Amino acid sequence: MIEALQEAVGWTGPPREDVIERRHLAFYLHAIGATGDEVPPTFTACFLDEPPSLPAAASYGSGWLNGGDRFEYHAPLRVGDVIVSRPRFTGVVEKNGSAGTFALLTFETEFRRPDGELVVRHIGRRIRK
Amino acid sequence: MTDIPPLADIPPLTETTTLRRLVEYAGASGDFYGMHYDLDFARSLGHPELAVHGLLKAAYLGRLVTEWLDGRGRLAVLEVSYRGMDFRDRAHTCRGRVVSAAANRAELELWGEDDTGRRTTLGRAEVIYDEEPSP
Repeated sequence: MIEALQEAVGWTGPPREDVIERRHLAFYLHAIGATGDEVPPTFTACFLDEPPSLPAAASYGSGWLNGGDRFEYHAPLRVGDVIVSRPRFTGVVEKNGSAGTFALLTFETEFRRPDGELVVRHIGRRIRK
Repeated sequence: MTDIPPLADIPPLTETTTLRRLVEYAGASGDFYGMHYDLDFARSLGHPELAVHGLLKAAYLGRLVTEWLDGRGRLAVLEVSYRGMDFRDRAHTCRGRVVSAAANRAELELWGEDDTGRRTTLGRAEVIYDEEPSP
């Protein structure tokens, strides 16, 4: 029911605080086939709410697909950095495609340092069908 | 001055995502959606095989750009749109080119192809060079 999703716009997930840990970074770099020890551009994906835990999503379709991701970089991340974030459900539209009707949901997550400095802004488009 | 002409092609990057890598990525990223490692679950959703995480394909495109930049600058924006699914054990090739450059900034067109040449992943990036490229 698209109405339940529309009513849920504005939902926020639980706040979280994460530390860029060297061992976690090494696992991630290995998993994406990368070498080196710098924080790669998509590392904050590890701190996203995937698949989204939005309760209202259960009312529409039976599965998730990823429609797209946008990362905006405002400051570098290094091992030892602490970042805080909280996913926010910002919009939904219902569409008709070749594979039928689906809902396109948009989530925004800002990753900030504890003092408030914006580091990465992520916009995710997720499909529910 | 760096030497990066407009319309320059970026060296391609090919990765074949195995089940092991799907599981490693799920563990590292925390995305344990069953479509990526549970074949019965993937088939219950109508997919023929285990799908590669979209964000793993985004990570490959991020690598394409940062390995090409090789310390000459940094990413300002990375944007990816998933237009088709990719499945395990099939080669996925990331490609890109510089489509415009002004002062110390450039815009890149990016895409990922499956092993039939179909562009399953479209993207773009904005980069900022540490030094202004030579004309």
